[in-house]
Amino acid sequence: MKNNKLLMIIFLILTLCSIIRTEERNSLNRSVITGDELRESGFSLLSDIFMLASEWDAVTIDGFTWQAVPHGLSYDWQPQWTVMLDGQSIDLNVLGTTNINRLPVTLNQIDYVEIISSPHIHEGIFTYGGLIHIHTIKPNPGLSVSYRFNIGNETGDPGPYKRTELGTINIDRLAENHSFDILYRNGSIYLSGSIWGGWHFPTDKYVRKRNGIINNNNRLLMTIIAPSFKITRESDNSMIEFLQAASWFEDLFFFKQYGREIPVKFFMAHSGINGSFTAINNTHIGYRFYFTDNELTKKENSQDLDFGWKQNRLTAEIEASRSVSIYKLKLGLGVERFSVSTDYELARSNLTTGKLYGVIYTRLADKIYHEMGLTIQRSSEHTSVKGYIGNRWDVFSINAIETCFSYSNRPFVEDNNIWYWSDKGYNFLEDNGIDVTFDGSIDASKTFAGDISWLTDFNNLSIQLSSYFKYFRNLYLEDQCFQFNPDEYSFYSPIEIVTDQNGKVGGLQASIKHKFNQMTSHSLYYRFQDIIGGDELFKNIWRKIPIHQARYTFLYRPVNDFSSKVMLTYRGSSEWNEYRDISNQTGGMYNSSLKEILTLDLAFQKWFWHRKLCGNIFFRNILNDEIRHHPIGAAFDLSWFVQINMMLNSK
Amino acid sequence: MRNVGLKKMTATATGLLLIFLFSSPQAKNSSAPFETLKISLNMAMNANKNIFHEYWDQSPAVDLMVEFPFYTGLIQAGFQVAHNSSVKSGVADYTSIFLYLGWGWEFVLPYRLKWYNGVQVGNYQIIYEQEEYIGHNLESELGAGIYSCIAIPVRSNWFTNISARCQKIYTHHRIHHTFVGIGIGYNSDTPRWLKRFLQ
Repeated sequence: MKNNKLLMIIFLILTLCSIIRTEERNSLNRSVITGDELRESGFSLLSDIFMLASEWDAVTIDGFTWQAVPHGLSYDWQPQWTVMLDGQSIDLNVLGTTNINRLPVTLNQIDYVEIISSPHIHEGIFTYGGLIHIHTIKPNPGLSVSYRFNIGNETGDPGPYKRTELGTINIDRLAENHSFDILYRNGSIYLSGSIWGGWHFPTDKYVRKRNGIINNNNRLLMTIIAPSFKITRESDNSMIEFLQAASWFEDLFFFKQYGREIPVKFFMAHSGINGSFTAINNTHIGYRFYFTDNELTKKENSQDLDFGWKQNRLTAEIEASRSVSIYKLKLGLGVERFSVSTDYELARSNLTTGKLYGVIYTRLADKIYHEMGLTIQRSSEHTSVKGYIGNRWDVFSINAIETCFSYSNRPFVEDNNIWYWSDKGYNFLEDNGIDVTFDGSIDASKTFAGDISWLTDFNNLSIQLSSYFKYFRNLYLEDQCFQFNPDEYSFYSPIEIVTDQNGKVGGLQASIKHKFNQMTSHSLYYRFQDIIGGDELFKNIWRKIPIHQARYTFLYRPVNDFSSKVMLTYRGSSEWNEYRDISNQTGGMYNSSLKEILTLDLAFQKWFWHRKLCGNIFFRNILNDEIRHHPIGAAFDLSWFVQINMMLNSK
Repeated sequence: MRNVGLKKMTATATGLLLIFLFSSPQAKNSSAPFETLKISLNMAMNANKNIFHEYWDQSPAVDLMVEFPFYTGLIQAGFQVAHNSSVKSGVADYTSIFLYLGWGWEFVLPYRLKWYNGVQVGNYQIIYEQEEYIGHNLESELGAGIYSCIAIPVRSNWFTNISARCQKIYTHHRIHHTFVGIGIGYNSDTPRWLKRFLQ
């Protein structure tokens, strides 16, 4: 606590000293992917964003639900990343899993996606675990409708050999998705409605084997349907937006702590309003008020597993921002109430948190910019402080140096995960045969993070070199060692929660973007990340993140109506220590190491009929090396996706 | 990184280099995209022997294709139909339809001959004919191949074709076919309605 106070004092002094001249800068470690880029890349799901978000790592068991983390964090210890849709935070995190594909937004709706990878305050949220903010398009005047259809297939079917001695199991198609959007704009009023639905099929033989029995030998299938409706009213000095969204998702939910997939039903409903207006000259007031309800309920299964989990989050925030020639200041206040409903008797079933935050943008001298933010969060159990300081120094006209340093203090209550609710009496794991032990009491964790970047921008060439460092203290980590159950092809492990774990990671990144001419461009990204030090369990968990990652992209777009894109991705090997015994137990069927992979993807997009109709073909993994993202996850071969998109407008 | 199949990396790099070379300014196509069309009908014979032929005997395939000038090179769309009669008892006959898109480049040779070389990719559909397969009578898989064709002008817009195609179907046990074919074709301006749609 003493440290926190000292940090706050230093922060306030720095803030006051720097109010000389101000200007808001783009946040550090913020990247933008446009909707056109996503569509042009042949992607069909929101989770495909992670294929373009170089600074993030993502893994999947089934190809539909992705676990993702920004650089420096690991899959098993993370404050969950936040998903925002048009300024409203949508709570998709259920018991530690955030599946972005549950978000009721269609690909055609996306204008651009902001990806924030390092600590920052974005729309009142301290982005400690990263943030993905999806901005949807403003409708064109009049009425517009669009329909998108895509189908994905993985190669390796038995084909005509099916009924011969060379026959193998049938590989279902990977997915089929349909989405429909209707948009209307009349002056300053925008209306949009959308719905998307899809069927996704596990095609991997081991995943199918593992899930056959628990799924009562029914056809393995994940289905989703997700409608949304939005109305926006804008004027010169005010904006108000109402969003209503829902999704129903039947899933084979991989619950890591239980060691396997469990058939479940997810339901999510979100209702929210946000807006802003000018109060007096140069002072704007923003407000956000929203409610998200999530349910994780039973789907028929042979083990009669039922999470029986319902959670809802009610958030109210108000923010004032004032910008004059010498500074820009944002101050905000928020209250959040998180409630849980389950059949278990909980010691407490709700959490109320209040927060106060401020961000100041200043300019000390002509070419030196500063951005500082501080959040103080208070719940009934704990107070926490999180802050960051970012600087940018423009050296000559084409070079810039950026730095960002942050500190965050994160109490157990903010993790709001399975362990917090187990502590309050949600005994799902224990009741289903998983032994859980804690080796001590859990205190607030602390993280210090630093990023330094050098950027240069010539006419057709931009280069960014950066390094980052993260120092974690007082983490609690799950220690597991999975054992194979040959009867069901599943895995089991008791869990020990080991407290007081410390560690450090660091990394280097390089990104080069070059345009040959108006038609062709290419980019190269490389990242090196390694563990600098720490406790053994910390190291084991961070070894899941590959040391080397690289991506090369080549884009050929001779005209606006046609493009082809080549993506070559390298992912280094990684080690998943909790699966260390499974290789011997399964006779090499599974392995605790994920081997390095090189994948080549190719996408083509062509518009027809004056941009009313678009066709897209995407080949994933052309080199056809078996890709596995998780030791017990599906292995993907060469796959191909076809999309048809029709867009009609009344004007 | 060195262990990840140096051969595959070399193949990838070569492929990318070829794409780059083909799209270099010296190789610009003379016609505007979709300005003209070429339609051709070919009869193709399966010319190779492998494990596939222990199960099926393939009848001559019929191939119908249209070809347009593209932003770079030429683009093709077409389908090839063949009947595959079983040569082993208990194995089903089937009809295969390969629906494909192709892209490639045409070189002008002496005597107004034109030599097209390109790649094709598409969907290989398997349609069973026997009653016991009804309900599961349609399967499909990705197919890809290379295609080469020499067009010999006959009179005004008509030409005759000699072609060769190597095709790989990405079933679990890959199907490799080599075809040689002969056919006729016709060159024309693209109808205005179609050009407007495609552009």
